[in-house]
Amino acid sequence: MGGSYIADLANQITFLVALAVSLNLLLGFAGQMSMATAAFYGLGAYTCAIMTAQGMTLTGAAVIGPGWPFLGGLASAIVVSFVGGLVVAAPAARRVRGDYLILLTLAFHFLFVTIASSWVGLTGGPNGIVVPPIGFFGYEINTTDQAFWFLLAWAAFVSLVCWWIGRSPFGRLLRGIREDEIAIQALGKRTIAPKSLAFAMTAAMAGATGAISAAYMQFVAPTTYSLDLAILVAACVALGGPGNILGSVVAAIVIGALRPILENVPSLSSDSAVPWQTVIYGSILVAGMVFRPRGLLPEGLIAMRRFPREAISAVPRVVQATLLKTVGERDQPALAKSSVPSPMIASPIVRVRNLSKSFGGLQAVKDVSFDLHPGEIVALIGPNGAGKSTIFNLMTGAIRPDQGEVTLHGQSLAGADPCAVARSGMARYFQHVRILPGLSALNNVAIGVPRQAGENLAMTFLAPMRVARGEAEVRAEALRQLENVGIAPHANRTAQDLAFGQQKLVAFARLLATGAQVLLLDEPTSGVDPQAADQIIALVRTLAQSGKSICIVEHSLHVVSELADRILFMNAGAIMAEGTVEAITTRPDLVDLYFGT
Amino acid sequence: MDLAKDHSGTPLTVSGLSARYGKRVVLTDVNLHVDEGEIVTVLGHNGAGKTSLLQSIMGMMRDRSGVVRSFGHDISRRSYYRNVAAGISMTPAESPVFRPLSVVTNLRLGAYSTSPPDLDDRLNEIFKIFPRLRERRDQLAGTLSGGEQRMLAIGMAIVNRPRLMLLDEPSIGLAPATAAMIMTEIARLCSTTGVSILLVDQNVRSALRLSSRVYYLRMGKIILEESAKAARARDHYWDLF
Amino acid sequence: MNQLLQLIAFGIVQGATYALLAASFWLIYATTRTFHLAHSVTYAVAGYAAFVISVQLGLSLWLGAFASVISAAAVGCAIDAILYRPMRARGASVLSIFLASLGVAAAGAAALQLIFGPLVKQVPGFPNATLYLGSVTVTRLQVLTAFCAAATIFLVFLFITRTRTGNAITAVRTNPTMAMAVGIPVERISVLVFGIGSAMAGLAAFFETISFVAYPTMGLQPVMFGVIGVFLGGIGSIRGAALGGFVLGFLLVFSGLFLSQNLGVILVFAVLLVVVVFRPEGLLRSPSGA
Repeated sequence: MGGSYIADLANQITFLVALAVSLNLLLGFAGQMSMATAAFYGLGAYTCAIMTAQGMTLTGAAVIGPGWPFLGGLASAIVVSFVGGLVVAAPAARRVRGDYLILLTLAFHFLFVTIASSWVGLTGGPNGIVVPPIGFFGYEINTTDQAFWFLLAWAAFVSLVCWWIGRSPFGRLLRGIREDEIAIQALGKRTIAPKSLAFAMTAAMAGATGAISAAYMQFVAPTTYSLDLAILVAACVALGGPGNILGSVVAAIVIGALRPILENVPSLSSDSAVPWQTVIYGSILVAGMVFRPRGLLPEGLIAMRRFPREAISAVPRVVQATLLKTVGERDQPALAKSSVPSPMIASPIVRVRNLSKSFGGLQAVKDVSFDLHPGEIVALIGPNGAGKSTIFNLMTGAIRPDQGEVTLHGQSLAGADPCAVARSGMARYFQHVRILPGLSALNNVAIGVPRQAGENLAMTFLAPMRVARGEAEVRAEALRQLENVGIAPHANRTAQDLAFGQQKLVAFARLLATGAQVLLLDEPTSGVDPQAADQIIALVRTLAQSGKSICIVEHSLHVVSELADRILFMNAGAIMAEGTVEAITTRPDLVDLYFGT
Repeated sequence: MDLAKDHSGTPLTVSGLSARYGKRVVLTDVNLHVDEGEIVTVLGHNGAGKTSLLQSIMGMMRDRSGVVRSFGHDISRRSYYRNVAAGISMTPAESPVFRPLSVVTNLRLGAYSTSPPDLDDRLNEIFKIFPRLRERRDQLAGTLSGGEQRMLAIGMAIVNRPRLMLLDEPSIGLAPATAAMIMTEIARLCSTTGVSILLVDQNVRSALRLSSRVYYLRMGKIILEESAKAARARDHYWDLF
Repeated sequence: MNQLLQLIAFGIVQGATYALLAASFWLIYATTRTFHLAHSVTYAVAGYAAFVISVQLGLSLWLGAFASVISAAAVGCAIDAILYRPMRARGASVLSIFLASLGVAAAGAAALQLIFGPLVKQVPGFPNATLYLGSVTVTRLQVLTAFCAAATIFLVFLFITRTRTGNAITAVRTNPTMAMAVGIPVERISVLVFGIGSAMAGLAAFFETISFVAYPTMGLQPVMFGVIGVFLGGIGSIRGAALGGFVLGFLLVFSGLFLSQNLGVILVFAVLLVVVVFRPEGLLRSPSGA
């Protein structure tokens, strides 16, 4: 193709930019590593080539494709890459461990390269395929300078799409999955679909870019799509900052410019420019991961600018009336709201009946039954190994019982996983908190809000106004919950910068944001100093007064005596006794059981 | 309060020990000591920091500050494998054995850092104490019963002839009779070999029966120290947990 | 029939090689939980070491083999000690360590190209001969490769299951907390398994170099096969990993007969998908963990 050398260089860089921003969506936002970038790039390129090639191949045979115009080839590339992405990602998406995705994408890369090199009839083998130039509506691109504007527009378009997805509620969900997938599931959000979709989007964008590059270079051959290219793109993402689209653009430009710069260094031979470029970006990648794993421009910087300081004024500490009003009003069932809880009058929200579970030969839970009522705090206490955490696991569906059942609002929870249980209105607070460290406090809480239209990727594109309105409501709700727990001034600080006690409060706010009626709290006061513990105790008490049904597992009898309306004393998997704090602590047989004989 | 007995070769002196897991503070300013031949118990609810305490003393925790001294040496910064080689043993509460390996291999691994020349004799000694282990010597540790695993764990600790043993809930999850047997064995070890023991347990009464002193740990802080005799006299311990 | 036996012979040779590769990756991955893709650099360095010793310096092939194995072990240990260990000590995420590994893989191969040039390097000198075993034709080199691969795997298996240090490796692999509690220096064991696993890969690289050629990116495909073999056969034991590698090699050779080579690759990929979905621990479940 004719035209200036500079334009060609710039064009090559635009391809790298498009690949980098699309990989950022997967690697940066969702935290999923894919080795198949080059493979999908090539898949799109070859699909376009096969669909658009005309006349004879280099080996002298007639082409097998339909000879479509460029736009048809581009569309085919997008479809094939998208579907291919789903096929590769979905099996691995069911597992939280990222090693399986690395394995499958590595294998896919190998698959692609082998087919591209060997299936001569389809792909032209090592010699490749000649591709007709880019052209649409009668206009053909014949010089590098003409191509530049088109390719620049493409790179800008892809960057914009990725940026748009990134800052959407869907993007926030991806970031949550990156930080702690299990915590996200425990909030009632499914993760397989978003992960697979993000992967398929990345694959489709890479494939589309591949089609465009194939038509630009008017040629495809297997050697272009090497593992080195996949690593190069990953380096751009890692260095530009995960979750930072602008960073990826800058990094891609800088790293992409290395090769032409090196080629023009007089002391280097022409074929050592590429390996020198590789040595440089490889070394920068290593150094970057060792010293600045969050990237040279971490997303925190970008995120901060999105929340103007003026919108968040310093709010006074939690006032019980405020809490009663905002929390209670939203999801209070039709009961008398009094400040003196009378839990026994209300019918039970949760019924646990004859729950049993054994592991190997060990009976962890034995025929356990109890009820939870709104406005009541029930404490599960007992010596270590008594089965308390197992009960929570059984209730939330993290493990299946051997016998027995749990009903919530009269519906059986049999077969439901933690995600479904959270959606039904019973949510769990983890002992180790499981905050999302890389997100702001506000976003941590916002992720807890259920039924967000914006978390559906299609809606983000098809109904942007509705999504924007919904997001504004979600943010307002998140801010409200932060005020309820008393840390609204810290709303836009990154969660990992907060003190542990503050992180616990953020996690509480997040739990409240789910709107769950039943809260299972796993050692809510562990790990914090006494003042923070008192703050949490007051918070839990207020939550119960507003009508929530609360069950806590606690080992600190001090905390239990402050909070519990009713105690269930467990030992060796069974409930030994049930009663008030005084009733339990004055029984000598239970003292023996708890403290041993 | 404890006096820092730095130069007397006390088996264990801990001063101002604080530790964190990332952001979570698990221990704050802990002071305790174990004298020669003593069994000292640390009692506390789960999450009070008992395991973190033992791991910090052993050198298995990264984020810690304070001073730990043992037999006249400052071991505050010493690595865990040097501690084992120097005669401190540590028995975790959960999974205290290597399940895919045989009983005898487990015992030999217990002596990994010291490689004593009379290892076989020591194994025989251990089999004399725990004859059931001899019966099952080639069985995989994962197939042993709970009580047998605990026996093996103690065997792995004593194969090094330690001078100080750190035991994390040695009787947890065991039937009362088995638990009593384990505790009796621990007491016997102390009386026959003179080993000093820092014990952490949930089973308050049985731990108190063998100890001379007790510390109560709550939310990472020591809230009380008293003699085991005084502790045994209490009706209940609700206000200490 | 003859063709079938011939393919079986090739399948055994190929399978043994991939089994060795899978076992080498497995040891490192299972014990240290590191997805050590820079293993490819270890492999390539070993190939070039044979070239340097046996061609450039003109020494014997025995020394070349020795150089391959030793240089591989050195590179593997160095990567762990200089790169992975400080990152682990600093609490780096698994993803960061993996990306750093990628950086080493890319930069390492490129550095080899800069040092030795892009052209392939041959290491001739093996007294090869064609052997006729019944109706099957194999070369002496193929037999030696397969034999050495099998013997190495067997020796490493014995080492892991019969020696004190080998038991320590199993201890660290299955219960790192308890390993620390009995005084096994976990970081030193980590460097050791990097050394042994890398040495195994170095041996495989030596054979590839003297059978074919050495080139800068020669490590990528072998490591990829090693990884696939591990996940196919089982991440719980060396036997599983070796089995997975062997099955993979066999499959790939056989697909050449009954199907075209392309479809064989598709078959492997499909099998992998099925394994990941239904049996992520791999085909061979191992309760004893060896």
